[in-house]
Amino acid sequence: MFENLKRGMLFNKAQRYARSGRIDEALGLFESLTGQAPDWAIAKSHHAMALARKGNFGDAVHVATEASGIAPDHFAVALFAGQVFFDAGRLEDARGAFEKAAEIETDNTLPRSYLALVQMATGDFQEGYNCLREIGPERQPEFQARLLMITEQELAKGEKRK
Amino acid sequence: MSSGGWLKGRRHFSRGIKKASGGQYEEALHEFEKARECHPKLRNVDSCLGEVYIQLGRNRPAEEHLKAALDGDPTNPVVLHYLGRLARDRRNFKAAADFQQRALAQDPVYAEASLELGRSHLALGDRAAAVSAFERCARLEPDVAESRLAEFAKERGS
Repeated sequence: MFENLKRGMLFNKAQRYARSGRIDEALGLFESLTGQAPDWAIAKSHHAMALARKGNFGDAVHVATEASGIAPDHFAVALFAGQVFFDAGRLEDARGAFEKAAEIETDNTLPRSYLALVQMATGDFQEGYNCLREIGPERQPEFQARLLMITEQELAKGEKRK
Repeated sequence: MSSGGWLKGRRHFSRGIKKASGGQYEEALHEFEKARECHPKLRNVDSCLGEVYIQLGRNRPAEEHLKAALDGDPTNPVVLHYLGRLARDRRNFKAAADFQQRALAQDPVYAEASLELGRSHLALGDRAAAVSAFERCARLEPDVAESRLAEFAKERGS
């Protein structure tokens, strides 16, 4: 029982590190946690996100895929996997993961917003943009960051054309 | 240096700030130059001149003034941020990222510096670092992505 409590506290600490940009420290804790509890899918998802933050996309994709295998019907696991695939440039895998998340929580607009983002990234920028407008503003910083990335890429293309 | 010169210089400096805030950059430029004539060592004139020259699209004098400002105040985050923007304009993305990182080290809640850092990382092909910088920016300014998207839509006319 106390082991679970201790793990929970370490998990929260690792998340705090990750949020404040202390990625190496977060990675150390997530590695230790997933080593102790290899079937803890959400810890693996966070571990995958931290690996992606570090630019280690190969391992990030591997760990995110493992997490999805352990908990295929877990909303956050699917959403995190989508984010990791998206950052790694594996857009079709990202689409699959976000579709899964949208199936699990049909009322949640976040996976649909991410699907619109995938559409924007795969060349159908205008259609994705229209979808985003229909869904409404999504203020989650992780989503905003990826929206910024796609928008800045498009703006940079426009600047180059000028 | 007489205190009269300092007072007169401050007056021109204040007028310059007002003009710049109202988007009257040529007039602001004139006031800042006057301020410098009255009192060559007046604080912040170089950084303001640098910013105004950037707004006017005159990058060379902007850089000269910003460098002079940085000599007097090496940790000024605004000056570091603007020098980073100029470096990015010259497509020197590594230097641009370095300036923005230095700005953020001085002012960790400087949203524009995070945005610029993300752009530079993106141009350098470092997607992981770009996402981190954009996320930091989005936490500080939750509407930033929406406003950039709106700029893009306006540009495209959609």
